[in-house]
Amino acid sequence: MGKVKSAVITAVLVAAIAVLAFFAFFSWQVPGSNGVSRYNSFISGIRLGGDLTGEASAVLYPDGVITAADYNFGMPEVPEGDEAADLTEEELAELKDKQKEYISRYVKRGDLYIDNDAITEYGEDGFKAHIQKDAEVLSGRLGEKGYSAYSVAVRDNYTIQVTVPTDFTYAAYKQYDTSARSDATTAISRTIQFLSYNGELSLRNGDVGKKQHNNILTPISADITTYFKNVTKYAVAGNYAVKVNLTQSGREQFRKISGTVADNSGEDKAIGFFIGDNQLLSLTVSSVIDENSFFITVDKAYAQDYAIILNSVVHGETLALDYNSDSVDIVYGSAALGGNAAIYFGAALLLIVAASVILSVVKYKRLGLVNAIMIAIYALTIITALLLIEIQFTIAGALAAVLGLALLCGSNFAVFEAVRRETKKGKTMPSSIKSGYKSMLTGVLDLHIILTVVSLMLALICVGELAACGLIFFIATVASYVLHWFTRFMWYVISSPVRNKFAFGGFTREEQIDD
Amino acid sequence: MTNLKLSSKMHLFIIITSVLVAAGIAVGLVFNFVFGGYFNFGSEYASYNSVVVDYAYIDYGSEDAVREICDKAFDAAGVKYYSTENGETGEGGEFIFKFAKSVNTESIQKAVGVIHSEITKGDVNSLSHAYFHNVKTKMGGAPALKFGAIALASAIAFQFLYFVIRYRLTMAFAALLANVHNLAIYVSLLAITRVPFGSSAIAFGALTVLTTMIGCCLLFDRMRKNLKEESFAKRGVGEQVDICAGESILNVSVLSVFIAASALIMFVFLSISALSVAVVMTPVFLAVLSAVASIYGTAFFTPSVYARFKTIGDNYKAAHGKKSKKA
Repeated sequence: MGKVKSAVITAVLVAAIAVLAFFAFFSWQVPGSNGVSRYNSFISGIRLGGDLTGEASAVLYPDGVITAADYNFGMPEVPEGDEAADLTEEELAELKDKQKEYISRYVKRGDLYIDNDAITEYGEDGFKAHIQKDAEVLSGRLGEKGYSAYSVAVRDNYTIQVTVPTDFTYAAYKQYDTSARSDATTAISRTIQFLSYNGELSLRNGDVGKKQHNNILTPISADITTYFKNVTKYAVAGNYAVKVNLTQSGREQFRKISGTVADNSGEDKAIGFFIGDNQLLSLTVSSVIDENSFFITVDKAYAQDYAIILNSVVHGETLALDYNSDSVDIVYGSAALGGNAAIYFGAALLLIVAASVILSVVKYKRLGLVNAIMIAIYALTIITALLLIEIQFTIAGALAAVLGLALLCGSNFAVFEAVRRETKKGKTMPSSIKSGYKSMLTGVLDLHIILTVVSLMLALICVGELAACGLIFFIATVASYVLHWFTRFMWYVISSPVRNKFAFGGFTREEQIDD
Repeated sequence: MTNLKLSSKMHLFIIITSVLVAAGIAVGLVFNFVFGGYFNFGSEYASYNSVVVDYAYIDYGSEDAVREICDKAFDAAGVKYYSTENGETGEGGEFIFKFAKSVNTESIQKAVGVIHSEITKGDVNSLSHAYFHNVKTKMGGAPALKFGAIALASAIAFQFLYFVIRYRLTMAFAALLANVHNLAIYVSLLAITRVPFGSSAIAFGALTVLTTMIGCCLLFDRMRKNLKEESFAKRGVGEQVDICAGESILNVSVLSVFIAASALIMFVFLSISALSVAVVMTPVFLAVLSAVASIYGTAFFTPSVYARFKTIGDNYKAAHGKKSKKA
């Protein structure tokens, strides 16, 4: 390859890396927008785990359970002193009775006040057992969300504490991108609201449903869960739906009720999917549905939550108590590792990358620079993948990416050493490179095949943080193998104009001495 | 590093492994029966007590003043929280202080009383308040552990099958043993050192298996290549394994040390961010345990056991060959 060709290819590649790195790392106010619009860099658009941006936590209070603050707030006041003088004795007695009634309505448990009606209905132990069971059901539902970490706990025996990662990007966390922050907080509120709906599934229609039983379409005595195999989220080409898979009896039942709804002369031509008294979905019916499964198109933001809650209830996992899910207070806590944990963490990762670059340059001279280019491409690949696939990036995920970096550098260093061994045998440089790559071909390939399959297993089988780590490592392994061969190409390109190709990699050739 | 004599030290390594695993089981069982946990389950799995302090912006413009009141009260009561978070609520802000179950509950409640009266200034209708909470039956981590175990078992099985096809049966058995052995060492070290067990511990467990797999690939690839050379193939099994172990030990160790060093760099930076060393000690310990299990198992234990496997395999092959010849 000629000098010009080599210089052009190298310049184009380095320029592409520089431009991509610029957009990946720098944010700025967009000129001409009066500082209103802001370009947020790739890294500030990556979703970060709870360890770096904190967690959102909410406490669910069952009906009949209130905090001491709410109890005090709701206490009917009885005027004293001058204020009392303005009232008649009867009015004062009435207010005192109201206060007495209010006090006798609740029983104090720690810092909580429990309505006596709730205890009478279930018994104190029964009430606690329901909360415990509901926490397990909620945990199962949240487990389906794929959060990097979450927890469901019973707090003070009578409330449920839910903690999930905020899923903020750095821009959202620092409030540079208010719409992303608003989207994330809305998503958390919605998820907590939907997943804590209580009650069983019912299918309803306002015209042909049983009027005296909330317009329910199916036989009242039937166990509706026997109609469904499962409910899943379905996404294809940017369209989202909830896929409902039916059993044989479910298919027959849907054929009947869809026929009834389609033929009715009224205005309501839809089958409503209700959890308790909350309507989740509405399936508009124009003809008989006689399929093993059907789809209900929904907005992207709702698809997963709808699928999870419906799948949970069709498997009989329902919440026994009604919670304050519509008005729950969500507290967005700071990261346990400090408010600027993400910045420090980014700096640590940059230091690791810089250390790898320095190590390769020190050890392999200009050949080390080729490896440095590969490290830069690898880092940008991981950043872009995290941004595009919206993988939640946590400390464990970063370790998976670092392991991928070690794999890339290890594979390249192993080949460089193999080439060094060949040069010591007295071979020419092209011959050494050819033999070096050939000798490492199967080893590097086997290593990458094993790690690709294993990372795919982790990504597909695991849940939460481990699954995210598996996916990151899968991308890292594939990138490592591609870049391993790209190193070979760039070695050829960059070293082409160099006269002393041994010096390029810091290699020495042992001269053969003829006897 | 070609003068290693690992093949003759199999018994020593088996003794070391047995002692470590037995100690892990013993410590785990003692803690399980006395304190109710084989591992020292972290906050993701274990119950804890918490103090939630809500404050209104009308009472306090800055969170620092509230934090100072709380810290003073906890110090006076002689209790220490292991983690704190703060966030915004509708009316103001909130602090959540988490305490291990072992911390005296009465002392915490005493501190809560002091904080409550301090921040409410005696006003029952105040929007600021401090509450003590008992938080139990945490369930977030259970599915991660179950599916993580299934995935790792599948990965180990896959590597065994791949090694059977691409390498040799004896190498496949040695790699299988290496994975199980290193995981057992890691789990035993977790039980012995009582490092808190949580999602990070599971992640580092997976990392141990991954580094072991990479280490086995490096070791057995060296073996596979060297065996193609006639002069090498003529050497004794012990010598063959020692040479390959010597050639690959640096790469195996460098990989684990690189990961552990990277983890160390990350957590040093994070400890600066958190202004506390305590919060990052657990992952640092886990990184070290993972590196120790991986280096010891892959670079020392596996070659010594593989030498025995290969001897058995070669003897079987020789005997089988002789019978065929006789036939």
